[in-house]
Amino acid sequence: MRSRQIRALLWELWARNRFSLAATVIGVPLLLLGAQQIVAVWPAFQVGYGLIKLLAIWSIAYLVMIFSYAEFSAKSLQTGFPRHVMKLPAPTWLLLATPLTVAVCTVYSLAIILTSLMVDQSMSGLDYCLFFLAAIVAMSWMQAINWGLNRTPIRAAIVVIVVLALTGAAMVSTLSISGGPIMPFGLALITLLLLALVGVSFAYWTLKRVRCGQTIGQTIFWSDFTVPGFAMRRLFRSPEKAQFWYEWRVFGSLLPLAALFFGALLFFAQFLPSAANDSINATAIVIGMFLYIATLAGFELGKSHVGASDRSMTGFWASRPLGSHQLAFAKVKVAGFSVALAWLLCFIPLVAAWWLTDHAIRLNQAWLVLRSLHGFEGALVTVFLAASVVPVLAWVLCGNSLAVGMIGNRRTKRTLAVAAVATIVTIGFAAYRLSLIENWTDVLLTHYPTVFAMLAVIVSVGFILLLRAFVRIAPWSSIRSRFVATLICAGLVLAATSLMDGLTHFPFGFLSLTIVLSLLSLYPWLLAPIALHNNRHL
Amino acid sequence: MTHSLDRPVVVVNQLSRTFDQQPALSSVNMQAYPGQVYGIVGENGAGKTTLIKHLLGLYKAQSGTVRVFDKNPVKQPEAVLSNIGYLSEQPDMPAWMKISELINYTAAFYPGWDSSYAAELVAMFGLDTSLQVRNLSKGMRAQLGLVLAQAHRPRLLLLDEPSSGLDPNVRRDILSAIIRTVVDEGRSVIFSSHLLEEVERVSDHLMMLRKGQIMLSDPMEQVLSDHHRLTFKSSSPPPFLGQLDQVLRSEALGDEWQVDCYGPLEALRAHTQSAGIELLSHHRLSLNEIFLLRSRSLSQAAPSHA
Repeated sequence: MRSRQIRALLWELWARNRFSLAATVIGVPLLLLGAQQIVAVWPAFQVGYGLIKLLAIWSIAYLVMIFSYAEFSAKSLQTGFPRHVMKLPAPTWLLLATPLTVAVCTVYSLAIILTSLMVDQSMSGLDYCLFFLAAIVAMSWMQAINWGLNRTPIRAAIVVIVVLALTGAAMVSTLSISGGPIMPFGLALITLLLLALVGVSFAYWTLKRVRCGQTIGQTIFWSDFTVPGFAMRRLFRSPEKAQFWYEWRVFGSLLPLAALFFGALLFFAQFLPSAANDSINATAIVIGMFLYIATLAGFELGKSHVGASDRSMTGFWASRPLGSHQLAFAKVKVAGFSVALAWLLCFIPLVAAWWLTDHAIRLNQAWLVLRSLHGFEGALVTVFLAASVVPVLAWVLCGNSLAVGMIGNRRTKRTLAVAAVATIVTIGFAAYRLSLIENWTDVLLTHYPTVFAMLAVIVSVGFILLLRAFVRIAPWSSIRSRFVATLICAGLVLAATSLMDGLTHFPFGFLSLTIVLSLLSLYPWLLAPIALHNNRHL
Repeated sequence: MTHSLDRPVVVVNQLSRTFDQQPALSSVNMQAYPGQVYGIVGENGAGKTTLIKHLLGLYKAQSGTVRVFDKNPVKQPEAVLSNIGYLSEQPDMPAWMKISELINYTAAFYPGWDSSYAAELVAMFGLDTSLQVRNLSKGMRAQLGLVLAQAHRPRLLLLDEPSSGLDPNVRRDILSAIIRTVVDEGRSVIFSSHLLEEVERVSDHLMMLRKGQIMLSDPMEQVLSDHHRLTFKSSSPPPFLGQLDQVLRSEALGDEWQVDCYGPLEALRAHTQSAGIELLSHHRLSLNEIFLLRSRSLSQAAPSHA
């Protein structure tokens, strides 16, 4: 009897995720292996190999997410344990143990395979055990969060940050292939064991409670925050303000919470004993991840409900007596505030690490490396670039993906498919062209003004077309002040960067870059209302 | 009720719509006037919600025109929606909001929001404003939806299957009372339902839809008075059947003949007398019977679409 139930549950796990599972478990190791072979015969591919390594690390996190599958409920607008599974005549331990066991085994196997492919050192027996414990920790806590602890993003974020920080510190301290200990070996091992044990118990308890129709969140955390009456009257003085409040309450915390996580990572990374170059690489990876998360958050922001796969507009939202541009602007504004807040949350820990303690040796070393490579002025420009261009890029990515996410289910998929094909073709073409020159830095230094000039023309044409489409659905006056504000922000940020020495050495290139980024930062204000209008009036 | 002096609130002209090449609405015409309760009935998938979504501007007319308050709801959503109160079958209100928050939030969009009326409705339904929407039952959600749709005293109330979550008592007493109040104030109500007794009780005008086509669209009074079930003393079909415009069903019952038809009673009596056939009984059909007969006759007339 039990074996039939287990087989049925296993089949469902496989059937639901067969494509993602196959791509992750088989495709990613093969891709990594292939990339290694390419690098062996063509060293210039090192940059591509680095990206594929990043993808490999990300694929483990993706696998954890796949196995902690949660169903979205349109009624409660929350995710939770799949309801049809909950109703099966099977004991709770079985419903938990089946996906947990399969998930731990799969995540563990993939992590071992990828690590052995990426790390030159051979792993000890203890390392294998530690990986297994880490897999249990990751899976059990993620399942507990997705199945019942996720009632507010703040709760989920706190749990994720604490568990991740403790697991990371324990793993760094105990693995033979890591840089060095953060905590004593015994303490690290006990921490991992405890995290695994508590994680499994928590996952079981959560499932048990959820199955009885109770929520676990409110019993151990505070209840939902409510706006006091006097604040509400102030907030709701105009329809636009009310709509902004609504969007902020629903989506506003998405990106800042992710940034909080990355900020914490950056902060801890400053205290790890490793080479300064590793610290710079880690910071670059975190910035890359921040941009990636900003893009994903943009797509989420474009939806009616967080977590729902449906991108069509709900009647409640669509029937608000506001113009499409006003509805869209509320979301775009939330995206802007989210990006700004998120960047601060990422940036402040770095500054704090630098100012507050002498132990932030990584940051100081990185600064010294930068100075030795580019000189004082060059190093300062690099820091300015990271501090100014990254939020502008994040805004461009978040705002524009928001707009794409708002155009509706089928159209979004079609647009993304076209964009993906265009990106692959462009990268392929660029890789082919650039492979003729040995040094990538030289290529960027010599050719980027031309590239940016071409981009500036393309972006300008797109801008004019969008502007024409926008004025058909809303008056130009509705966007004028927002345009000016965005342009001033983007212009100041980019000017701060380019004025340092960009205009001196590469005036044309920096001018083109400024034009491209400024226009792209204006795109969401035009694209989002057009997308929403098309999705609203089907 | 005559509306010759009033401008119609809603004018739909030759509206057609397809989804994936499947017709959802075919050449639908409609005019709703101030002070009128316009009932739309039909089976599931008849096109009721599609029609209402066109009135809201959530669907763009593929062919034909839709005017609400003499405006295009797609081009001027703000002007149209601010004068409409809308309650959908499954009110998709934000589950995380408390009732008080939702009421305050919604009030911000409508300059004419009547807080005291909202409070009155909340009290009438017995809703606890400190509850979160996710903790409300289906019926309570429908009641809250009704409060939100009503409290700004909209010129047009659009109710899409409003009673699907309400229990019979609430349905009978409160919904009817609200609809009558709206109409007494000179505003209009368009509501769709598959509960025909309810439509019969409150509607002034009836539109019957089937597979996107209008089966019937007439004043309710006329619909009820002109549908008849006649029983004749005759073993063969009465000879005047062919002359009647709308015979919905005719059937032999032993030596009697039963005919369900649509038309003025006087004309039918005249036909009977001229044919010299004895009319044994006559009674008016209920809306339920009319709907079943018309659905069935349409299926028989067009078997390929059934």
